[in-house]
Amino acid sequence: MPATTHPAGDFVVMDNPRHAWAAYEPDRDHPWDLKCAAHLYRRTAFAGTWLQLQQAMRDGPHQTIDRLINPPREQVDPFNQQHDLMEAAAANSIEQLRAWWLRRMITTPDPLTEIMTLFWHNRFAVRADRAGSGRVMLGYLRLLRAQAMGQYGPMLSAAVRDPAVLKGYDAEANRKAKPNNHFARRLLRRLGPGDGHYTKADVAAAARSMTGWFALRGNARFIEREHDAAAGSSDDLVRHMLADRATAEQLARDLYRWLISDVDPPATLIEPLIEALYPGYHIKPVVEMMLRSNLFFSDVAYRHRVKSPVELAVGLIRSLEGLVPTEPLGRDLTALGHDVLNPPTAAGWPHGPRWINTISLLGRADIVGSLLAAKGPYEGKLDIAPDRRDATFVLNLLVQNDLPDAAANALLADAAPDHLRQLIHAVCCLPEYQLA
Amino acid sequence: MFRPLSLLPAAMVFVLTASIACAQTAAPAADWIPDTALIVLEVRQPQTLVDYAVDSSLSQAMQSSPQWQQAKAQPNYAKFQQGVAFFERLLETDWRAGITGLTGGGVTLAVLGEDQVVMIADAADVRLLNRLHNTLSIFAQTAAANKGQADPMRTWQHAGINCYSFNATEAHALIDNRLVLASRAAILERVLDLRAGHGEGVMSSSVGYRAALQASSSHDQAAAFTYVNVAAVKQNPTVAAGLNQGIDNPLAALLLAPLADAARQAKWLAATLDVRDQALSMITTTDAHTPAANALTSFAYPSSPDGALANLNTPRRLAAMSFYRDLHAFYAAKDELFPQRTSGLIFFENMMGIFFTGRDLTDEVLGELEPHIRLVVAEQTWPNGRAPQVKLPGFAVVFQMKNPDRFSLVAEEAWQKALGMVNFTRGQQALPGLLIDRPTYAGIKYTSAYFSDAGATSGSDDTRFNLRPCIARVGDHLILSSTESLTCDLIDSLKRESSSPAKAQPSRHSLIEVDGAQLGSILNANRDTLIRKNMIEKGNTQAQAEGEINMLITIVRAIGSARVEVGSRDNHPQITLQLAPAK
Repeated sequence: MPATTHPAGDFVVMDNPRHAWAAYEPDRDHPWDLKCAAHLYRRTAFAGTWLQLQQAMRDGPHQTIDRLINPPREQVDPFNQQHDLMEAAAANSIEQLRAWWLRRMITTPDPLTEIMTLFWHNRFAVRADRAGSGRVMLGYLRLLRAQAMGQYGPMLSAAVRDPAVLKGYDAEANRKAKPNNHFARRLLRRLGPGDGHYTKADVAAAARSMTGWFALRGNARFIEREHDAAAGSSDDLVRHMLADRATAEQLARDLYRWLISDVDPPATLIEPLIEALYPGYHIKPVVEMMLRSNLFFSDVAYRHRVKSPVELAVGLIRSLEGLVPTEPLGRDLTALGHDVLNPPTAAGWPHGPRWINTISLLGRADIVGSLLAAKGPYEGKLDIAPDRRDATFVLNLLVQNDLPDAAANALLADAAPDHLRQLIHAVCCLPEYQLA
Repeated sequence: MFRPLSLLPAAMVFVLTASIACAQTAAPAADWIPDTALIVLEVRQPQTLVDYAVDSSLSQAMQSSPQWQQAKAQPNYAKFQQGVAFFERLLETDWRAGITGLTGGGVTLAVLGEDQVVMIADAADVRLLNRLHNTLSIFAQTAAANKGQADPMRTWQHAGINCYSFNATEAHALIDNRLVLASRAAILERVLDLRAGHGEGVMSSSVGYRAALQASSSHDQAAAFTYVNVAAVKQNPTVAAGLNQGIDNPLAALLLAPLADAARQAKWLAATLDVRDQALSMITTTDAHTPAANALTSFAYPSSPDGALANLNTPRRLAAMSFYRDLHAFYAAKDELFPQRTSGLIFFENMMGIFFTGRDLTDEVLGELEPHIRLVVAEQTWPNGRAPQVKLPGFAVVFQMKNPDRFSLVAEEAWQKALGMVNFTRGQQALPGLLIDRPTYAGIKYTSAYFSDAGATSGSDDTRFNLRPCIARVGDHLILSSTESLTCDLIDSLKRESSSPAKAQPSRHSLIEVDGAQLGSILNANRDTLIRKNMIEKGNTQAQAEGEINMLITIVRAIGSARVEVGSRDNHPQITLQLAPAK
């Protein structure tokens, strides 16, 4: 990873969790500036537009984070209402559903919810091609979105009885005579306490708790006679999972990797997050705590996450305030290994440096080139605004002058006002731009 | 910026001193075009085509659409209008009269090769042509002078004619009332050499061109004529490879093999375009010959007076197709037509082997069918069933059986086997299956299959309700239809035919008709779906998507009806296209 220096400096002591998670207050040594604003927007909104970044610099971190966590309902509700209708109508095709989700990521006034929906989807890792139909997948995504910043308990309770999860986990028939241990193990391993925190007996008990649940014709149904009443209900199972502090620890570590850094934190740094999560599992306060923290605005987090292909593409589109065809975008992202409705494994997508290799770097350059091309599948719809045709502006918007002087000067020297798309492409291929 | 008034004195001087070639009678444009040209387009009645482009119902519909009005409100359109108005004032004419004045004697466009184009326009008003030439010359000079640059216009003489060029991609000359405009100076000089009787052969003496003219002589009043030197075009390696590749897909081969065969044989192609009463017709013919009776593609060529039957008429018909295809002869020649057995062909044979167990597909199945095949596509209704969100049209194919009493039962058995296989496969995927029914309509008992809507939840996975497959026998006709409403309409239509049999179109092997109004209707029924698709396919906002789809519906409705006939005339392949305006 390139060495990028955050203006706030290395002021977080990793072995001082209290200071790390304390709210960041700008001061002379750790000022709130364009880099801070862009960093916040990358993690919570894929990327910020120039106007959003300017507004954030004026408003400061508190007000900006308030706005990102609690976006104005008068904008969000009508948007969601209209988008929900569009998605529902398109749900007979998985490809169209994928395109509508990408479009939602690009246009939503509540991008943090989409980022968190993607987080949960990565965690549950249900594949659309296993779920069987777009309508089932849509219901599952709606469940994740509705609870993305809510409470883990109700989400998990609903999810284990969701037809997409049942089918996606090979558990469409949970019979009393043959409890599905594979399903139970996957629940405990990925959504519960994690490996090392459950026994074979726990797996067997969890599988018995889920008996009676079937996915039939795209709907989840509970058939009483197939349920092992002695084993407790699915809600009992969820209560049991949540009661284990290890569940909170696993969730806290996942949230840390999603919002702070690809580098695993020491246990001491995670402990305050676990305390915040356990036992209520309220997500929003924990996310808020992380976003407001000194740690979030420190070198530990700054450009210390590799962007996924979706973050790369959607971030660029949002930065440039564009709107592109999302059907081809879905296909191109799939070619890069990020089919947004089909996580490749039960553990979701790879994360961190595993997104980057020689081939994928070329693929990332290709997708950016394609998005910016005057012709082709994206129809030349992505470009810099006519009143912003300035090379320095491009660097400020996309990399906030995180480049070494020599690199920045070389880019500026080659940049012609009529060929800013080439400059954008060059910037987006830089190592710095691959980092969120 | 141009300053028109300050240019007028200079323009007057230029007009007086301009050297225009001495008057002489202009030869046909084809006398000035090299016989090596790949394509020659002769617009004999430019005014007719301009009138069609501007006044036709299609054009009117587009111009009255909100999207057109929005486009007109754009600043660029206003600039364009100002430019046109400026020239109208300068040339003292309106633009339509101007086009007539400049091209009234006809326009000929010839493509000699890549980036090698020449246009020869015969003006009806020679003064207008000269005035335009002089004005453009002065504008170019003035624009260059304003930038401190030299006069961009180069002038020279070739074959006794004054030649002019503004840049490397343009050269022109004025000869009497004729403008010769070429994409390069060398091409212009080549044309002038031909005019002077020097050099290579001319198009008007070319054997192919003369034959093409002769073949189109019955349409010598056509508004436009096109000659394509197919033999030369086929020298292009890509074209040659495409033609030699053949058609791997059996269905595509069944439909298109006659055309591919004609393209392989042809040395030239001629097309005429005519406009009468706002109806546009185009006739295309080639020098290829219809194949001999034992040729591989003879399955598509009827012996006169046989041919494709007149299309079936049904309510809400979007399109109808009628083909003359001898399926028995086609399939008997499959090893020669498709020497490489593709996976698709193997799958087809496996399936047919299951459906028609114990029967030879060539002789005992396809051999039972007459070569008259008709297809109908129609908007469907859902009087008793659930209307799906995405409304697909119904489609049906109608075969004529040689031994209807025997073969209709064979077909029914195969159809039910296929249905069983569909149900089994859907059952494996936990999807609802089809239920079989045996209703009667107009005295005809037919078999239909439908999806029950009992227990179906509201949602978007209701596309299956577009299908209600049916099989029916009416006399010696066998109907295979995707919907029940179309089946009933076809029963009515075929019953009408029993009293007045459909006429064969002699020497026509394909007959296709499309109804624009009905097509517009089904597009309109799916408007919301199309808008949503447009938004994610093209990245448009909802307003932009609505604009594009509305425009599409408007255009389709205004097209009226289209009819394509493919067959042969005087033993040569011929395609006729007719577009009639919406009523």
